[in-house]
Amino acid sequence: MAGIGVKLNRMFGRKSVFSEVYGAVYSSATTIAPMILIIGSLLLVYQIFGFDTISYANRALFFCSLLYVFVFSLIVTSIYNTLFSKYLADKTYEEKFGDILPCFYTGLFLCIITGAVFAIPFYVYEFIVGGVDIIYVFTTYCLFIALTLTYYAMIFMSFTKEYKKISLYYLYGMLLMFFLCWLFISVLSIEKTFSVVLALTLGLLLIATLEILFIRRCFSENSRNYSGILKYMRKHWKLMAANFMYVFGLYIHNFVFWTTNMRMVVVNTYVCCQPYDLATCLAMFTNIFASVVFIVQIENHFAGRYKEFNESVIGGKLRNIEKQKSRLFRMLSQELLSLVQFQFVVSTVLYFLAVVFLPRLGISGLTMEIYPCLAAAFFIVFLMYAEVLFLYYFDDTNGALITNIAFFVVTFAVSLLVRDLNPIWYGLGLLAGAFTGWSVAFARLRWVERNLDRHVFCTGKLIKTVNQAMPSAMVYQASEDA
Amino acid sequence: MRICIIAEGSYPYVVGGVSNWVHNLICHFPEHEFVLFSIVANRSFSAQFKYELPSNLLEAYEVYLNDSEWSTKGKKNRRLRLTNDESAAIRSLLFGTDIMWRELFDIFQKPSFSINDLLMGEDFLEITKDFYNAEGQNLVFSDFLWTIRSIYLPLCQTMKCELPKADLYHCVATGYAGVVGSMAKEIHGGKLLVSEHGIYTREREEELIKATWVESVFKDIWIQQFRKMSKLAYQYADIVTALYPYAAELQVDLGCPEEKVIVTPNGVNADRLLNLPGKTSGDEFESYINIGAIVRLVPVKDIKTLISAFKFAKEQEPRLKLWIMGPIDEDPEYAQECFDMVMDLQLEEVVFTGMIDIRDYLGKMDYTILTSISEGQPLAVLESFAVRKPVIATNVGNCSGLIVGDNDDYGSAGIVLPAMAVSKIANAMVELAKNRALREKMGEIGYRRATVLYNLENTMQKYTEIYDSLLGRDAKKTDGKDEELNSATK
Repeated sequence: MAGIGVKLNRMFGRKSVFSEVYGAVYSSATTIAPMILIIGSLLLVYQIFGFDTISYANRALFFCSLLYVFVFSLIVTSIYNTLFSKYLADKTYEEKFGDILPCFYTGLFLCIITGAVFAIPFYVYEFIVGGVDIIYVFTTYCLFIALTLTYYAMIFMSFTKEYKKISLYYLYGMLLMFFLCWLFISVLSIEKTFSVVLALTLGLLLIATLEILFIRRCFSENSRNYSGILKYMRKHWKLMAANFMYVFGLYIHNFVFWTTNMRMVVVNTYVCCQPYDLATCLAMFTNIFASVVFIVQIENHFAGRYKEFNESVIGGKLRNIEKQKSRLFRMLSQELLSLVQFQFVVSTVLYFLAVVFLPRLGISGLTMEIYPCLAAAFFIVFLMYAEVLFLYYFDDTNGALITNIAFFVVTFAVSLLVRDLNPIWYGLGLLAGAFTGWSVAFARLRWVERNLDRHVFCTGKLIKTVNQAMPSAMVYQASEDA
Repeated sequence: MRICIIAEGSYPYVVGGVSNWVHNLICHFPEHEFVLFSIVANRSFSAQFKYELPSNLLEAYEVYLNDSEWSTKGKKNRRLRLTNDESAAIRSLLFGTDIMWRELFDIFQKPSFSINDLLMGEDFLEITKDFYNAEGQNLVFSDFLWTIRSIYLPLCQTMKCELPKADLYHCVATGYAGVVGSMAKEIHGGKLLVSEHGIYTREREEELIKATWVESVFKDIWIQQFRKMSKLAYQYADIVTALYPYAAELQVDLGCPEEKVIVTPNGVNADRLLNLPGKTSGDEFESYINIGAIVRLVPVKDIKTLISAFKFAKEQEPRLKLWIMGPIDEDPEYAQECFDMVMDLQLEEVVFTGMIDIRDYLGKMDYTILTSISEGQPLAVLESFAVRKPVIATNVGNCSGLIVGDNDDYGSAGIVLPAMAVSKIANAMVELAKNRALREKMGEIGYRRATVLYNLENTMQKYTEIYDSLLGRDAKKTDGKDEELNSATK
């Protein structure tokens, strides 16, 4: 984020309300633009090509197909997301740039295999049991793989900090999608839902291709160390598990409500709960804006303070180290407090806008009953995520894992309990999980602060450990040699 | 009786004066069983013996200053929490006041104790912080912490060693050997005898002062650590021997109780060096004035100064030929530098013989030379005297005492010069080369001194008495020492 960080500094540095708003909009636009582009494009397609004329069954199938593709491609890539980022950072630090391209290929293979292992049986089931057209099923499967590849390649693209390029590739992809939608629907008169699925697949494949080509240009050296990342996976499995638990926790409450009476079963295959899912989506968007700004703030402010602390550890006197440590954690507290304040204001404004305008757009009833609790829950979720990011900063993978497991378990358990309550309390599962996760992360950060010296000065080994009993000290005995 | 010889970096891995002394000692006491405990740098030296071990040397043990941690409990760091007493013991070690050695021995002798867990643990970090605030507030803390860890790592390795049981522990130096001896005495009982050939602490100080691998601010911390180890050995020892009176004074200055110190000079077996072959007509020695240097090719012997001085001397006296007689494999890099220096200076009359039997060469020398920058009471000088050869030596250790005479009026058996004084050494070489009468006179003085005052039999007799007093008689006798022993040795 260094690239946009410099520009943001200039914007925020001007210290006016306009510059603050402009800076916030800019940072959001460049980091969540891809997501906005896809969703915006789909909404436009929905409006322009008259999806309200499509039969309810087809619309439901279309909606569920996309929902499952988006959710499960995110869950699949979440397994590898953080680990690959760490691998890239470490290899850059070690200046072993030749290891990055083989790592990319290995990860590509792993993502496809991981996705395929779950997706193929599912889509076969959709074809056989659901009786859905094989071409549609296959295209949906391709869409799933394309989106997985796109998300995966974004890990490497993000590492190069080419956020504008990412947004540009998504723009090209969506433009292609639009064009193809028009071609398939208006010119070739292909069925609308299939047309959009096919167009979106091809658009995402274009994005993935552009990203992969860019990555190959950036990291042209190839050390052929394809197994390096596998050793990392063995060593840093907790990192993978932590991120997976977080992302899975973001959706587990949805899965719980897919088992309730409100669920909709489509083609005997897909299960969803539209009011709850839509409320979730709205609640997430209400709060995500602030978290994006926060991430940029970390890059701009906290990273500098952390660097000062590191420099004092390497070359400073003890009293300097203690002083920098205090400053570091003071800033951490300030950053978290700022986030709470900022997010509260922004989320509150967005919440009220949603409450006022969404019913006029046709979103009302059960969705708007569920929405407030989920909005509050996501408010805490992103605060929790901010704390987890700080834990990653201090290399506290254990803390991140414990936090995310707590988040997942409580979200799941409480969601099960609240299914039979009034809809206004449906979001309590996520709220409880988020609060638990936030509390665990906060306690962990305090623990990190108390134990930072141990982490900095007492990690690793002074001498190599050999996992066997010490050989006897006797190297000569006269009776044996007589 | 079972005697454990504890040596550091000498016998039986390195051929030299101290190693020869140890070997002769063991051979001289066939009635005793000996066990050898060696402190070596790392496992690459394991069982690399350069001596044929005597039949009464039954076992040899090793500990390595640089070794891995051996553990069957997995490779992960475990969080080690020291008890209050253990923490106090470690603290006393760092601060150096009233060091709780007994408690430290108990800590390190626990089978499951991990050096990694200690030195990389929080408790050690906190103790180091306190030590830093007391001693090094203006230093870079990371450097300080890692220096402390590197200082105590070899000591920790030493204290974790497997200790053989013996009736008497005879350390050939203080330092790590002294620590092992003291620990063995504390744990297994028995007696402790410390025999110093050079003063370990002073030698380490000199090395550190010249060292470039450690910053000057940390040199004092290293020196203090060596002093602590030496003081431990002196405190635990029943008897401490020195080769000459000045060495004994240094030991007392370093904290050794004066009543424990006995002077036991080295001895040479002159009978072994009788009737050595001299120069013969037509051999390679005949037409030269042959200068012998019985030395290992290591930096402490300062061979480069010797070669430089020979170059100057050769210009004044073309008949000179230098024979450097000793093993060349102890420090291959330094040895190669010496070879290169001889080639660069185009000195054809410098011969590196490698490892030889000095009896084949010593008789053919006209005089010998020793240009070391640090010595104890070199056997090479006594061997030269035993063959009636005068010696040119630098004024280090007891070289002056041997050549000029400590407690006798025999006269000078050679020339003593400052260390590294190339031109003076060259002049001395020329002086002796040109004056045969002076060489013969000095040679006779040296022979008389060696056979009367530095006789091997006398030395062994003293050690017989020392061993008897420690092994065969009541332990309390060692507090005041046996009077007979006193009169025989001082």
